[in-house]
Amino acid sequence: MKFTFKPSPNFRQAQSTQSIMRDLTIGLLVIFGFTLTYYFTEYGANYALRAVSLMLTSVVCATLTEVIFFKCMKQDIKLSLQTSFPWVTAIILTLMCSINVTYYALAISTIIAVVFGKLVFGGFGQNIFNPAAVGRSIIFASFAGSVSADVITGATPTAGLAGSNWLVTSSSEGLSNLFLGLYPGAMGETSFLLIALVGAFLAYRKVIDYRVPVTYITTLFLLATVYGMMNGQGIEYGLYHIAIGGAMFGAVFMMTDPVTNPTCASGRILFAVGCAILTIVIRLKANLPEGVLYSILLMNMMTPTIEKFMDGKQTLTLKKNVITIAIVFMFGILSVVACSFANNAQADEVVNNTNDTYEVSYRV
Amino acid sequence: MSFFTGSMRQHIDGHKELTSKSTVKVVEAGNLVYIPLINMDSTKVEVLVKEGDLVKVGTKVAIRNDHFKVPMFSSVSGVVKANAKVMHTSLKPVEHIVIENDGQYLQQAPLSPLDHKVATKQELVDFMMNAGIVGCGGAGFPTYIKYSGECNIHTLIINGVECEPYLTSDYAMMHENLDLMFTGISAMLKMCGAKTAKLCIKVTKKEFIQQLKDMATNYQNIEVVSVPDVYPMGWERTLVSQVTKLKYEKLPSEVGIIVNNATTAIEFARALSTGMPIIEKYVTVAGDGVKNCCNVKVKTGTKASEIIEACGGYTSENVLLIAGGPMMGKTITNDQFVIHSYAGALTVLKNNPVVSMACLRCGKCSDHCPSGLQPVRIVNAEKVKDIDSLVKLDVASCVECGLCTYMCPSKLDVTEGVRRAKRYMALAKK
Repeated sequence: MKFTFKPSPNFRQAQSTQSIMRDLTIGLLVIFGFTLTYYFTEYGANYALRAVSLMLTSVVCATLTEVIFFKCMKQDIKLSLQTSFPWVTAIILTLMCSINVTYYALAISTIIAVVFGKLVFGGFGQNIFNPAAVGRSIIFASFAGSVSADVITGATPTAGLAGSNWLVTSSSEGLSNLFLGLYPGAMGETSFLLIALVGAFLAYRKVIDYRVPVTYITTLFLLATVYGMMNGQGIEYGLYHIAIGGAMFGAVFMMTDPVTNPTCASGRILFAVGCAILTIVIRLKANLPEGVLYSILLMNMMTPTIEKFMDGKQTLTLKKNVITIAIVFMFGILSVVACSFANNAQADEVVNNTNDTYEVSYRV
Repeated sequence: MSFFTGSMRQHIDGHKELTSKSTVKVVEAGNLVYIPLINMDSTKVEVLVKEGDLVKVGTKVAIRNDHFKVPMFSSVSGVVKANAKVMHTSLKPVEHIVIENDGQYLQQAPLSPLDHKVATKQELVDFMMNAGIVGCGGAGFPTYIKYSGECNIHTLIINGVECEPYLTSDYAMMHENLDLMFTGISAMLKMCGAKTAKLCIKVTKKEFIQQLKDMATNYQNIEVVSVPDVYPMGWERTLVSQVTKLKYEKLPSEVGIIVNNATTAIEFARALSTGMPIIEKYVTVAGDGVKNCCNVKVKTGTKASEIIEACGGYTSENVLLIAGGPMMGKTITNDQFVIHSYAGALTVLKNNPVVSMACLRCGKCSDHCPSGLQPVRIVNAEKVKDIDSLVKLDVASCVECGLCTYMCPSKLDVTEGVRRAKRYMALAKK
């Protein structure tokens, strides 16, 4: 008869990190299923097949990279893979790419994402940046022109909106289709509705924290509405901003990545507010096609600072935390107002130049 | 504001159906009973009998004699043997008085019964002290202390929540002693001068709540309150906050509240009516490591091994034997310890291996900590011995309820990490 000693408590809930990752993978695959259906019906079997091949390329690359890494580090490969989840990074990364990305670009960025986004930091749980976001930024930075010439899709609504100085015009994609997601774009980012449903399910299963997407989407909507009102846009302008460019995808699958966001509730709310502000500022002012991705990477950098700032007994720091979040939100509104003035000044300048040089038709 | 702080609580599947419906089984005391010479953390106990003395059921055999006075009583009649050092539920070897049971159970009430309706407050407090009434929720805090002196109390909260998984002994106790419970509450109300007593029961016990409500109509100032089925609803601070919305620094008396366990009220009422101290306990024996899960009624000082045997023995060769519930109870490394006056359960679990992995930083520990702490940050700060952060993180507020470990999806021993941090801070202070 053996009476083993174990420190209390000796009672645990059923949910495990493995089950969290399994649920997350299923959620992502549901999105991918939608992508395949869309490309199959809209562009034909070849396109659907290409999407599958891209996905496989990335997953295999990620897994192989980890196998080689663990082999080099003389770790138990099977055990390490079971607690490292390379496929999650690969699936998210692939879903963030458009269908015409080259296999080469995807493979290289996957490897870089897994090695420099995750493994060198000490593996799962230790990384500072969201690995999938690292991979996507590599594609942005190094393989922007690396698209297959024989894969042709239409212009994305995000590019359309960015091209019209972030104002909704008659040529913009219809709002209802933006929410449904039946348009070309990043493979998994288009359907606001489906991602929201999957997100709600994952939040219900306690796989992701509902606070992050709810705060992010709400803040983004409010900030966009402020900009819209200053520029004579309708009340639906805010909806455009939350529907396009992977805002929902980023909110559900990347900002909620627990490894790279703060651990306390207030911290995660501040993180989401920060993401929303950076997203809209990058969209309105920066020379980048999209803001969601970089807002996540930038806020990942802020995570240790936020955590340090919010250390303490949460019931006692509650007031301080709420005030901080409110101040940051107000700062966001000011930023958007500043963006609006700056963009209008720029537009005026262009108009003034017109009278002198007749170049206007190319520039607006 | 659970949006900004997390829920600070969690519903737990309590497996209470294992024992809640079964009848209470009486387990006779063995040949020897052991009275532990300890109360809470204090072993400053004066022994009042010597080897060879004859004692009866209710004979005062020892008294805790420091700033608290807690008398201890024999639960059987027989002859005192030489003291023995035996494992105690606090996981320390402790001196015990050993009494050879003659099986006759001759009684000798140490106190004369007292009618709370005519007695003064001071008489009741003295009686409570002399009867050795301690907090039966598991802490064993001498109850009379809460009522001593000038106390400005407006509400008495009677804790019948029993939020530990597996445990149903409080429920069985309440169920079988309804009249005593109401008498005890009335006496306690008189002692503290509170206007109302709120008897808190988990909302899931619908029939029982109705039964209590019907009874409470006979008592103007006793109110039955249903509370959510979450852990740790039975913790003083969570319960006070749930029932009255009041927050306090150290003790609930700061905001005019006393919290007592329902079993404590019953034991007090029994002492008032018979003059007998706590000599019998209801104990839940449950878990997948024991054959027949049930509630048993035993004499205090009965060995765990005898109780387990009466319940059909162990189901596995390697078990975790827990004194108390699985959340806060300690695993004891042998079954020779005894049930004392404030023990209420034995949980026996098969020793299934726990496979843990790297922290996911999911923050579930911080979201659910009933003290509002951030266990993951505490554990990380302890790893790098960052004293400034540990001070800021208020490690001392941890009550080791175990909810952080329960929640952890990576199956880490979070609570143990926080305990390490507490020990480190205690050392650093010296």
